[in-house]
Amino acid sequence: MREAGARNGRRRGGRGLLAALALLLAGSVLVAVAAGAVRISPATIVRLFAWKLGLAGPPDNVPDTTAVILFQLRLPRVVLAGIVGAALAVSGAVFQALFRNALADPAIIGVSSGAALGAIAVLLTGTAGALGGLAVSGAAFVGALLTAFLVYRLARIGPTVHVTTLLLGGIAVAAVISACMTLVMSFSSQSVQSIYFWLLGGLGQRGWGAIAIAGPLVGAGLLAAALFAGHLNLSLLGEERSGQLGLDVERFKRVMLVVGSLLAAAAVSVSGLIGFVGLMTPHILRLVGGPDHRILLPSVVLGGASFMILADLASRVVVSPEEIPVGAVTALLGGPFFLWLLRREQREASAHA
Amino acid sequence: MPEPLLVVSGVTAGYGRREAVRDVSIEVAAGQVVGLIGPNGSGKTTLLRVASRALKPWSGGVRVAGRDLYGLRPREAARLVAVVPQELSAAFPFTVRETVLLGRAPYLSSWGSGSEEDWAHARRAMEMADIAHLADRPLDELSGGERQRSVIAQALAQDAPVVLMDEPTTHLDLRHIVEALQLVAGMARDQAKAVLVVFHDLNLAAAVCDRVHALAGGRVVAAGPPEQVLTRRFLAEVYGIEAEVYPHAVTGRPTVVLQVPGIGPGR
Repeated sequence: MREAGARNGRRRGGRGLLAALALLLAGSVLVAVAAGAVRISPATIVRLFAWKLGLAGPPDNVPDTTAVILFQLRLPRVVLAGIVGAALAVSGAVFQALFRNALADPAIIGVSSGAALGAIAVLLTGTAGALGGLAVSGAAFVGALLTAFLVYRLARIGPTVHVTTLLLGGIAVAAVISACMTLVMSFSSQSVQSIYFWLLGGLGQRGWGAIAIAGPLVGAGLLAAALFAGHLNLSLLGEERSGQLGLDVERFKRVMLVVGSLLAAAAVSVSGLIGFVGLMTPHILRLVGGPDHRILLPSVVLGGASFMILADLASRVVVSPEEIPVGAVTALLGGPFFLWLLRREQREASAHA
Repeated sequence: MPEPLLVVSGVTAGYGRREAVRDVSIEVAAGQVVGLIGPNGSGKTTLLRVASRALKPWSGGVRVAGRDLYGLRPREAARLVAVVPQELSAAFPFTVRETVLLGRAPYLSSWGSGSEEDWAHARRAMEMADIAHLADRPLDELSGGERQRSVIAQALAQDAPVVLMDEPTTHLDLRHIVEALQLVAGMARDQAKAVLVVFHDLNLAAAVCDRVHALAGGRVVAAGPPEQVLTRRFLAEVYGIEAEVYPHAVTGRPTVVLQVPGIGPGR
């Protein structure tokens, strides 16, 4: 028993971490649905939920509008923020393992831009048709996947992925994609202002419809990533070593590029461009709980969801009644973090050289 | 007579268009330690990569336990052949225990959780490599020698009948060199593994190998028991050095003593 306890030391620590993150997520959800122009007390929230779930009658002394605000405005927004945050964070974790680099993130390597281009092309040309939101997600997925494969090919020289080629490749690809987006938009007759706002990243006014589209896609992506947790661990040892330990490296890379792109595309197609979530969340949680993906992936799901819910909350209460795009909030936090991380990585690289 | 566990036959291989080894054949039977020696750039590491399924040969083949290595799936191959690389680095720092448990990967699901048996293998491997006390330390905080012993433990945990090692003693101090060589000999003698080891230090090769194969310019130039291969003439021809070879006072195995030209007797 003693031995079993010792060998599970980190895993048990992992359970504590997961429990703490689950509490954080629950707290974030509660605060986010309560706060806003109309404050809703926790007691009212509980009573309204009990009523909605058929556990109690309609609560007294609560105006009908409160229920509408809770269930039609805030709750879908919070749920969507959670889904998007989890998707971006796990996408980041997958790309970081794949590139063996802590600086990889769907936005930084251009995958989010690729997804946005795909989505915009469908949105502006109106080719979505009867498929609607699903067509947007599908186009976003194609754009993300093509970008991911392209940047991976660019960044890899021999067996290693170089930081410079990864970052510069991502920047170059994102610049080309951004030019393509401007081109698509200038040829479009439709109003481009909504597109611009969408590009900045936002979670308002998407409603339950967006959740119905993104939810299943993200769920599938998270499940696929979790199924390969052991292989993600193995891949951290490098291609040659993980191959020697039985990993089918080429197949694994293809599967993970698809999974990472799917998650990023699902998030982008319902929320626009929101950066740095996929960079910060896995990195911080890896420092706390270690690099084992069997702990890292679930903690990144909880942490990414919490982070995005709180960032979205900040985006709508800080300058209330105005809103700032949530992408701006994450960038304000993420930009300095990215620079710190870049400095650290480069210092370590030069220390090892 | 059954086929030896590891059969490398007529292998020619290289990188791009550059040929690194030509027509090399080596056999290692169960219970044998075979050394690969030769000057820098003679093709030792290339040959080890071919034998570990990392570099497909241009011609010739590798058979392990009677099966074509390059016809196996990666998982099956990893259950038959364990490799001890010179260096191991993880993109993000695993603990020693996590690192060693990754050696069980060929037996685990893609999710990667180990059974009681996998933990037992990992534990035994850590004890054999004398790193059990480091189990919870992150790999990147260890000394070079401790890290190398962790790599050896990872390969031991893999529990494969064929073991390939690329200079397993490079970063070790004298005590750990002796212990590592004891491990190598024990793998062959007690666990009936076929062990192929690249050695730079000829005396270490002579101390543990049943046979050595010497490579020069990508070809096998000498093969046989150490006492037949390691001679003054061999050292002059293959390494281009003057050196004395004496039988070891206790074991009788050949011992190479270098001589630096121009430096005569001391006071």
